[in-house]
Amino acid sequence: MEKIVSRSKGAEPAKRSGKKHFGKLSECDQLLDLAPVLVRDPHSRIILWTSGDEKLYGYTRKEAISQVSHDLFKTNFPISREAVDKSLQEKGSWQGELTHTTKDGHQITVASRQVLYTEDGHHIAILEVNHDITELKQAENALRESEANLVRAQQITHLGNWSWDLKDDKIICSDEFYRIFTLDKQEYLTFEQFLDTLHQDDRERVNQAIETAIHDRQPYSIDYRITPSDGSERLIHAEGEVHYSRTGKPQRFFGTVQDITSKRQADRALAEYTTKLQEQARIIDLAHVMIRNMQSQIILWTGGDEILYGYPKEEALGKVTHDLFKTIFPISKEAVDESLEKTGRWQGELTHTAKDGHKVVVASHQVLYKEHSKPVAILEVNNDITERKQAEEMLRRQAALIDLSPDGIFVRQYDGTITFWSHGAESLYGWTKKETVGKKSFELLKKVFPQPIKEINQQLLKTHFWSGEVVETAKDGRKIIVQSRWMAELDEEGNIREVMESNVDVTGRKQIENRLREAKNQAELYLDIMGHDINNLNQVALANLDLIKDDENLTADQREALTNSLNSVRGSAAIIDNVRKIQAITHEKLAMHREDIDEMIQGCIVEAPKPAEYAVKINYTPRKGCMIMGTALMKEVFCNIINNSIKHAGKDVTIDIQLDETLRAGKKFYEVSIADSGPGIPDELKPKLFARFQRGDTKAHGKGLGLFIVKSLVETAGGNVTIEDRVPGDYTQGTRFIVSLPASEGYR
Amino acid sequence: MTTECPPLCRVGIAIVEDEKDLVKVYEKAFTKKGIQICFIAYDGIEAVKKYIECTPRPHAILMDYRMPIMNGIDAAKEILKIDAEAKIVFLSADISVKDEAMKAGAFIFLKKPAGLKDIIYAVQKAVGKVPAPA
Repeated sequence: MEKIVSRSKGAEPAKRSGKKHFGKLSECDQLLDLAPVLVRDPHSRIILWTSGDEKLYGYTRKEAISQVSHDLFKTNFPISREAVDKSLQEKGSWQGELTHTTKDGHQITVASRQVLYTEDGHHIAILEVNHDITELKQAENALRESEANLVRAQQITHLGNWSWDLKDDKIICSDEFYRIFTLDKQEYLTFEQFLDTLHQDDRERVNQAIETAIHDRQPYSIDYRITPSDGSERLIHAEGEVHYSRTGKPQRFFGTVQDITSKRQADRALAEYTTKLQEQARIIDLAHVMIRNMQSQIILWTGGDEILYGYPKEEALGKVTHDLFKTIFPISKEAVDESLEKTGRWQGELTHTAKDGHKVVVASHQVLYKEHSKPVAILEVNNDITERKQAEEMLRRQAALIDLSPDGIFVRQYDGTITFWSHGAESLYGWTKKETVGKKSFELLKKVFPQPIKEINQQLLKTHFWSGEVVETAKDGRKIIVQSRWMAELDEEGNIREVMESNVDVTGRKQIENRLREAKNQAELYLDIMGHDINNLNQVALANLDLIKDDENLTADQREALTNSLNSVRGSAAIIDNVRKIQAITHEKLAMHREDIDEMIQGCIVEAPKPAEYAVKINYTPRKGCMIMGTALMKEVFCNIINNSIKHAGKDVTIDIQLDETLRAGKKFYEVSIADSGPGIPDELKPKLFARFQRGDTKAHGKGLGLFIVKSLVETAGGNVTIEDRVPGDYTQGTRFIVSLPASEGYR
Repeated sequence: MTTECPPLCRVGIAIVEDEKDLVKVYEKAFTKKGIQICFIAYDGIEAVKKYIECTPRPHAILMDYRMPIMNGIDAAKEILKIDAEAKIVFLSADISVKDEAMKAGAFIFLKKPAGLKDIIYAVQKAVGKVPAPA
């Protein structure tokens, strides 16, 4: 073994002493030679250099001995060299990490322990043991860096981790965990504290998942919401696994948490975007888009084209468009091509023929594509406007029809601004289309409404329609009354957009109506006078004649004259009666009641006139319960016919009355047949009998309204009356009236 | 002042009619038939007033409808308020008021023009002295 102590010049006492001591050392242990141990004198000159040093620093003993150590190693001290020396002198030792540079220039870190040797109070040497900790330091640095990276990575990925000591209920969490949960970092969390951070509605579910993971050894993977103190709500994805002891006891639960709020939002946005893209793709495929090359051969054909034209892709591709569609151009094809060539685009309406032969009108937009300034293809977007064209045509026709109408038709906006003015309106009001369009209709026509305009608009909103009489002023200042019909068109929000007004001039009609009303009132007044005042006078005459009639001294001639006068008075009263009945039937809405035909007939029989000159026999078998619906005057029907039969007989007469039930179109009717053996009615007179103010060829008093009243009353009750010969073909044998009336249960 | 009325031994009636010619002929006719005229009134108000004053009261009242001041139906209602047993024979040219008159309590409604025979018969029926058929 070589001596490990070298001699050096100077510092003799120390040298000697060190030599003495370390000479002993060198003899001690061979193994020491392998250790990174060096001895330096108080001037830091190396006096002992081992093989271990050689291996560590690269210097041979020859190169190292007598070298000042901190010069040789280019030592970096953690504190000043003076401080190290001071520590050695005061404490006798120092330890710390030094950075040395080896022979080959590498920097190494050593854990240096230095001990000062003294002899007789003199510092004689310093023993340095320098353990190479370079790799350890590198590992430490790497670890530190790795940890920093982990923190950064967790921050970037919003991924935190946790480790839960199940025995002690301590959850150690990473920084990112605390950041995600917006909690102040602390040593650990308890499970209770963790649960408190969760959304109330998710706690039970998370608890259940953790229980399942621990006890059933199921994977823990769950999404839950947390409600951080900032009031937000965040979505967390958590995963974890449980570690068990050898005996199978759960010990520790490891896991991660990741804030997926943004990710979930992004996922959702992405899904929506994807859906939109798919929709757009579908729309594009449905669109009537095609591409043709410069020879007009189709090179792109969509599903929309298939639907529009009926040709499948395989039939369309390669075909020349204008041949396939038998295109009708609004201008020449050459002009279309020229426009494409010059401007790069063309648009217009084309008429195409679909596969099944029907005509399709399209609004065509064509764009020329160029590659390196050379035209290569034409994109055509052909929107089917066939229905629109048809609607336009229909509208055009309707507008023409509206213009043909004599009614004053115009269209106005809600505020009254006129947008359309028909020829009829021009005629009605006197203003031309040019004079009215853009003007406000209310002011122009000085409209006076029968009700507040607010109410009219409310009705328009509700039913889209209003009708009423409006007073308007024409261009020449004339006041006109129009029957106005309004139809409103509402917008998407339900507001009135436009109103079409159709106005019919009823000024003349209103004047006539007023005159008629006045005439009717006058007629009613006259009738009232007749009914009351004349009958009052008739009453005076009748009563006086009755008084005279009782005079037994009257001659036959006087009595005849008296009878004639009485009949005249009664006839006069009868005329007034009939006129009043006609008035009631035709002008008054008489109430309908249930009436018993049998009661009416029996009443008429009782009240029937009993002429002194001849006998009257009435045959009738009562039939109860034949109810009809009729007015209070209904009895007049039967009385009138019976009385006519008696009055017109002129000789003994038999009247047969029969009441039967019959069915007509499944409905029950009652039929009353009144047949007399009187002089009869010739065929040519029969149709005229029921006519108003028509008289038959009779010998009785000339009132002539009775059968008209009969017919009116029967028809009001929903029935009819006919007349025929009692003996068919021989009118001289008498007449039969047949009155048919619907039974009350079937009456409408 | 009270209206002088004939004794009860004979049938007495009142005539309420604004047409003087008619009143005259009714008077003659009733008198001829032995029917006493209790009073004559020319409008409804007068009729009610005279009915209140008349003692004894008439067995029947021949009542017109259309009269000045108060019409026959209103007069009938007032009279019936005073005496629910009053027998009112309406005789009017206004057939349209027949239902109203009957509803008001009229005994019968005759339409003008009516024969004297019919009028007298109605009055006799109202007072319960219908002669036996001949």
